[in-house]
Amino acid sequence: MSTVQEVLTAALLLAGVFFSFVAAIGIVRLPDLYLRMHAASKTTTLGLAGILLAVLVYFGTYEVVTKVVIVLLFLFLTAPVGAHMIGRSAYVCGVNMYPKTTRYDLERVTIVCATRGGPQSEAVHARAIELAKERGGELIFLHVLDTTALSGLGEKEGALVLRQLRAMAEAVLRSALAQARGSGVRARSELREGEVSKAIAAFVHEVDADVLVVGYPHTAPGREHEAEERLWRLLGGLQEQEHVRLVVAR
Amino acid sequence: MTWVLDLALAGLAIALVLCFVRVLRGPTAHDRVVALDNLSSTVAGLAGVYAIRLGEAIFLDVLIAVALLGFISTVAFARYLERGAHP
Repeated sequence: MSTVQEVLTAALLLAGVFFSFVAAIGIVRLPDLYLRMHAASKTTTLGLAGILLAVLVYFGTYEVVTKVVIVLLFLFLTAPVGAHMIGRSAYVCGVNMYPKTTRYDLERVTIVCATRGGPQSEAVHARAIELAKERGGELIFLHVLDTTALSGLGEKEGALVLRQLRAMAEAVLRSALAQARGSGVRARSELREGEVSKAIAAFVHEVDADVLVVGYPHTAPGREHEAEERLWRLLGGLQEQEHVRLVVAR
Repeated sequence: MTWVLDLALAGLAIALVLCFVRVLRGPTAHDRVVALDNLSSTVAGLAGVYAIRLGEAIFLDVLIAVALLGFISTVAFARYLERGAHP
């Protein structure tokens, strides 16, 4: 047995044992099943493979090389299958995730897009549609008719203006839905009346929304800062209260 | 070379103990299955180290058998536990 062979055997063996050892530490220390599976897969793919290659180098006969290659092929085929099956089974059985998990792609999200209508809103719709596509969630376009401004009008004029405003709002929502359909995203729309920020908050609570997309306030140049501050004052509180992510699109 | 083999055996033995801690602690059946699967892989590794230590290539067959059994039992447990989810 040559020195090179011996050194190579020792190095491969130590590498394999090292990975097996680290995987065992991971299995004990990591906080949830899915993370532990991540550690456990290292034992077969890196740990056992290292030891097998050490055996291959040490013996070097035809018989051993054939066996080792076959076992390696077998391991690399079966390890992902086994991990997939046990992970799927755990997910189906509802094994809990680590509470600090930040990304969960299998969850269905509800995205509410508050729209004002008008040419600037198209970018806002596009952002909401993009998010819905990315996360595979339910998309709802919400338009709130601001009825607070109508209180000064008489009964007859008020009803007339309200009818006009409703027709406009419905047109706005129809165009938003058409835009979503054009991008291949299913969406629905909702028309509410009342004070805008309150109605949005109530709707977000009602559908238990995960993401709220609103348009950047368009104001006179030089006053954007003020308008943005007002927006955050109105809707920023929702982030904590309703656990909704606020997305301000431009 | 001998000390490398001793070190390897010691490392794998500690790994076995650590896996067994997870088997005992759970908390879910899935955790135990993952730990047992890892345990079988580590035992297969031990068979590999023994093959080198004793100079007997026949231990490779032990490794194959343990690895096969580990995979089959993991798949069987996964199916069994999943069946329990929807009766």
